[in-house]
Amino acid sequence: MLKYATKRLVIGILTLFILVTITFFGVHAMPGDPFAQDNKVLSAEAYAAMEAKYGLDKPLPEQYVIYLRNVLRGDFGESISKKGQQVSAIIAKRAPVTARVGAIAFVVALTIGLTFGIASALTKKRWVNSLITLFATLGVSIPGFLFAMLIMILFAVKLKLVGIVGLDKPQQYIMPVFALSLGSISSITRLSRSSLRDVMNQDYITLARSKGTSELKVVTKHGLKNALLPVVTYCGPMFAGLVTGSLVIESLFSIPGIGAEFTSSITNRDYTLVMGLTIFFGAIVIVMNLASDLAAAAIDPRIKLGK
Amino acid sequence: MSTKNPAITDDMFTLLSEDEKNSEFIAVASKTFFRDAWDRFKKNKLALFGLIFLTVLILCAIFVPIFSPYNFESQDMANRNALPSLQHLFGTDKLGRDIFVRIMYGARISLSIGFATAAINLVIGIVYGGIAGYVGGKVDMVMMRIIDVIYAVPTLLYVVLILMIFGNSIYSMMLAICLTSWISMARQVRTQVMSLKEMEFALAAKVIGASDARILMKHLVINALGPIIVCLTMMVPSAIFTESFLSFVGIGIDPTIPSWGKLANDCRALIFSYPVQIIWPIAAICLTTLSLNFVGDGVGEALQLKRR
Repeated sequence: MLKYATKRLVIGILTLFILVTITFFGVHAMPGDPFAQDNKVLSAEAYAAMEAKYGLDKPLPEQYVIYLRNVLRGDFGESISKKGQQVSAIIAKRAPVTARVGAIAFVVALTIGLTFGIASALTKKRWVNSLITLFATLGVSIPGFLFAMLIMILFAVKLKLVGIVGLDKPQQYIMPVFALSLGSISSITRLSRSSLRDVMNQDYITLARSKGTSELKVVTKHGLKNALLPVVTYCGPMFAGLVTGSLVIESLFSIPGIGAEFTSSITNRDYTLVMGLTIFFGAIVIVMNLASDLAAAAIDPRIKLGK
Repeated sequence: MSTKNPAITDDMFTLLSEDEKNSEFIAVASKTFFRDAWDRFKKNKLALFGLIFLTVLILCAIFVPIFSPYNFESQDMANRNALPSLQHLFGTDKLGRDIFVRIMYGARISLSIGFATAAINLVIGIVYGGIAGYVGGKVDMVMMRIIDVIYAVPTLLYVVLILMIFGNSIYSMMLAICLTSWISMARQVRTQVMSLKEMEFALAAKVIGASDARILMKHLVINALGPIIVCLTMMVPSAIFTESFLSFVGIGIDPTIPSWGKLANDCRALIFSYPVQIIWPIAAICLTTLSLNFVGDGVGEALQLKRR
């Protein structure tokens, strides 16, 4: 276990380092001038002063080393379009909102997805099964942002049940959370259904039944325990999906989170903010992938022996 | 048993009766593998619907912009925000532009991004995954670790960076999507090649002196074609999704190009006043991705991949 964990950790750190490098050189290779905003023409001295302030007058490799050192200290520099605001301060202010919506969506996706998946795998009624299959197929095919617009039209415009924007009241969480978790719900449904079906056909399930174990115990102790492994592994990618989804869901529902900030920083060409947020998003996804892989390895010792 | 054969005489044999004569005649013409698969595919109603929808969509995307009296920019100021009519099949938008024609232009963009990235992924995936799976050992280890590193970062971040560096044209969008999406293809090919190379026919090819490249391409990849095709059909909708997603948020391709995501984005401001207009881009994106998913599932079932 320790060897496997170390190996994964090293890969994770390496990935993070490469991400920072690509982001840094990518952003610096971009055409355009970060100070050429508002059509103002800067004098030569003012320009030099600006460059010196952001450290852009030094040679690129030196800038890279400085940036790397600052990132290690959690310092992403100052935002270009929002004067006087540190990127890390912006992240600290906006991230909790996104984390709250994301965490709720995570729990909702797991609960509903598992319920549907287990129900569909164990049910003897055909209509239940086809209904869940239909839902899962639709959920994978309809992009979350379009689903968000559809429910917006239905519940906010036609039925006028909830307001569209903001997160002041608890019921305002319902639409963003569902729009965000729709894809994950369907994926978990499909995943848990097929894996539980496979497991329920195994010999040890028959053995457990023949020993007279109650059906409830067969399903929970023998079936689910083994069937949930793919779902645990899926939690990492699911997290990446939620992070990606937050970009559009937040701008659609005007949620002041980090996804909306990322979108606007790209439109504003705010290079330091784009760099900081890219690294932040990447780091979160890498850490979550690592966590779900380690959790899977802890549950199933076969994984770390290598496939 | 006695060692001597008893004498065989003619009276030990009788002629077959007329109806017994043809008992071993094979009445059904033998079918090729793909013919058989096609017959199974046709039985799957959803997959067939998907195929028909896609064919119609592709034909419309090619011909509607050529023969329509409107192009995607021409404005009909007298008929702004018009409802669907014979003159404008899907109605017009806030600048009086024909939505039907714009959707079909969008189809050109979405479909070409989807199919082009799938084609590029196919080539890269087969070469990369094929080499990793066939050579194995240290080479495979290093190649797979590289994949792990690339895969760990969400696709979206790469796409955003590429679009910012190379400008927001369709080609940089294709490049950006390809940057990460070939990985699933490479993984699929690698797994297939690894198991197929242990089979007898691969050994036989090696024995008669076929080169490694020939064994890989002519024997292993050909036999892995089923899973490859399924993987391929799943790539098209995900590319279409990525493009429309980014264009919808406003950080995708050039906003003057009427891609589906951009069209959906245009309707965002109008959902209180003209909610009907949003139906068309949503329907276009959903029906296309649904159809592609159905076709992918259908192909998988038709080639009976699960049985293996």
